[in-house]
Amino acid sequence: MTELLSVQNLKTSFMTREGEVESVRGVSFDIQQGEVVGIVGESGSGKSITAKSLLGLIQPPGVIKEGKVLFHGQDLRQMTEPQLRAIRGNQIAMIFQDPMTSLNPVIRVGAQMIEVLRRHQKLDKAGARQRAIEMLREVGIPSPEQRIDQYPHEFSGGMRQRVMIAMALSCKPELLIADEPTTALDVTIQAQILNLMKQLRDATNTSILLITHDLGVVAQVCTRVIVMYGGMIMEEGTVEDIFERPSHPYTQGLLRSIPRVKEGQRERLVSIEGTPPNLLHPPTGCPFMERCPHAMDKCREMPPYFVPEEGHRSLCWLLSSDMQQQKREQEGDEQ
Amino acid sequence: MSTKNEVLLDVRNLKKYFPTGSSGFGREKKVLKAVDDISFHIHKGETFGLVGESGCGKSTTGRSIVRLHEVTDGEVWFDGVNVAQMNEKGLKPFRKRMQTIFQDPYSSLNPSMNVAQLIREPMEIHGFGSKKDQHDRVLELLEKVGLKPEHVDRYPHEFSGGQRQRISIARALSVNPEFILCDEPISALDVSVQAQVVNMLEDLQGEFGLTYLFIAHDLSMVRHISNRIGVMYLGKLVEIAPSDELYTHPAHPYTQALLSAIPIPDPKAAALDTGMLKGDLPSPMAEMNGCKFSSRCPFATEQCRQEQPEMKEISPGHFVACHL
Repeated sequence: MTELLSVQNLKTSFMTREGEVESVRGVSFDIQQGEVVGIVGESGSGKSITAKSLLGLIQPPGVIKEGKVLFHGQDLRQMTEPQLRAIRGNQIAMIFQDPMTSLNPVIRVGAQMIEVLRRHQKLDKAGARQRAIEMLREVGIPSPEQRIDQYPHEFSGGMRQRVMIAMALSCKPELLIADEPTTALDVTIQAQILNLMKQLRDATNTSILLITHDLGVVAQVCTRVIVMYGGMIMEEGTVEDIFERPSHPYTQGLLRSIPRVKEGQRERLVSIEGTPPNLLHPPTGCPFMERCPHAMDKCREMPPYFVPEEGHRSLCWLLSSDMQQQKREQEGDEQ
Repeated sequence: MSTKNEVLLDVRNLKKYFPTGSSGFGREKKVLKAVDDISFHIHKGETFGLVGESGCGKSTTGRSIVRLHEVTDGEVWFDGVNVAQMNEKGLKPFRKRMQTIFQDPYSSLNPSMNVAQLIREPMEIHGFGSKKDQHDRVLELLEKVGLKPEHVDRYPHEFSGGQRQRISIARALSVNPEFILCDEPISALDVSVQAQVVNMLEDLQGEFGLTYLFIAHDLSMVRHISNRIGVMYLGKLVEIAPSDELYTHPAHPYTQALLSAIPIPDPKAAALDTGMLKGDLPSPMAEMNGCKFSSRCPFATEQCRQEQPEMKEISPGHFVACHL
């Protein structure tokens, strides 16, 4: 496997009247070819801003302050706007949460797709139209020959998201960034869209970066998971690591707050009390400290990443060798 | 519990149609049958969940019951009185007993009122005690919903989504209602905050003996909170059953499809099963003779397309509208 994308120490802030809001505070991760990586987190955790920063889609007052975004080893942040534009939509495509606002309402769906194809794939008009129809068929839109000449409002929410996916994939990108692609859709439609993304991944070996708040979606489609909180990565690991052996108290709390569907049991939900930190004045220590049931004095100091097993890292002092030693001793006493 | 068997709300053949403009010269008025002849009841102290995809009529049902909509036809018996066709004056005492919590905590609270005013407003409308009593009650309610007394003179924009929903709940509780319509109260909230609000709703139900109609599209949360659940599809109730029964033995093909589409937060669980359901919801404007689900149902027969199925009881308390 080769590294397709490598993000290093990314920091993005918003300069507001009240001061600097540090939305993304030093995020680093890699994406390999053909991988589906999920970023999960609650609103305000910095997951969407991270995704937008990758393609330089941050609007003022937002600023990318630091960091590298290496795509095939080249830093996207050093590129000029025309260079970036050649990559955006071509090698890296992005789909957004709201398919209603990401399509131009006064331009026919086909024309929007053809524009993308002609710009990036250098196809002629007829060829681009043919390809657009093929793409629509591939994402499961019935009678694409007619549909291509309709306007976005004539499509349902699920269909519009299909159009967005068709458009995003029409140039065979190497990386697809999907920012909450199914959040606005009903479950049955969501299931169809997720399956579609998986099929396309299998067929084209496109890497996917999926941003979502739905842990169910992550478990179903991702191979690796990044858990964000307070603008930082709290934990990263394979889906099995995260769902079966979550090591960060935040991940554990998040998993416990989903109702478990088991017969005959109606357990009280375990909620995480309190609210996320204000990133206008982010805490200098662990961002989860205030809500953490295991918080201790040491947490005022920012923990480093600990690696409980290969490919699995966690930003928590509980995993330091001292604490692990203590835990083992305690367990030993109990037995 | 004896109270469990007492019916608080009995909805019979409820219909809500919306006229949707005329097609050509005003001769043929089209109607949208948002809620088309549904019946169910809710016991005292019970939580009844209503689920379905967007556009199925679940919110319209809720709003018709608390009379935020005029009812086209049918009866809504609340504690032995039919409120479906009642005028506004007659309704006022019932408005106090039936309260609503809405989905969007950002638009359902007046941004120019502070917390004390927001919570006090229902009490003022319904003439609840003196100014002093009202103020004491505001403080008491704030504590109940986990907010602090110093929050009273803050405005909605100073609160997070979860906190706003707590204010909405305090506001609904201020007039001692018996029935609360929860219209997607947690859909706009983050997972960890959803759990806080659901736990609180459960605690309050225990404390005040409240009856809930809980409308949502998040099926796992509905199962958690509801005693019984009704599944809606295009204005029709297709299945009603006790929660666990519905999830373990879904009888209607639509319920089965809906349940199989929930992403399970466990990577070992079987992959999403979408073999069953293809395509989108048909337009609710389209006239259909038979079962409304027949166009998407993998088991549909000629009978399904011709004849509307009736609700049948297949096991105690489990009703299904399906020919199969």
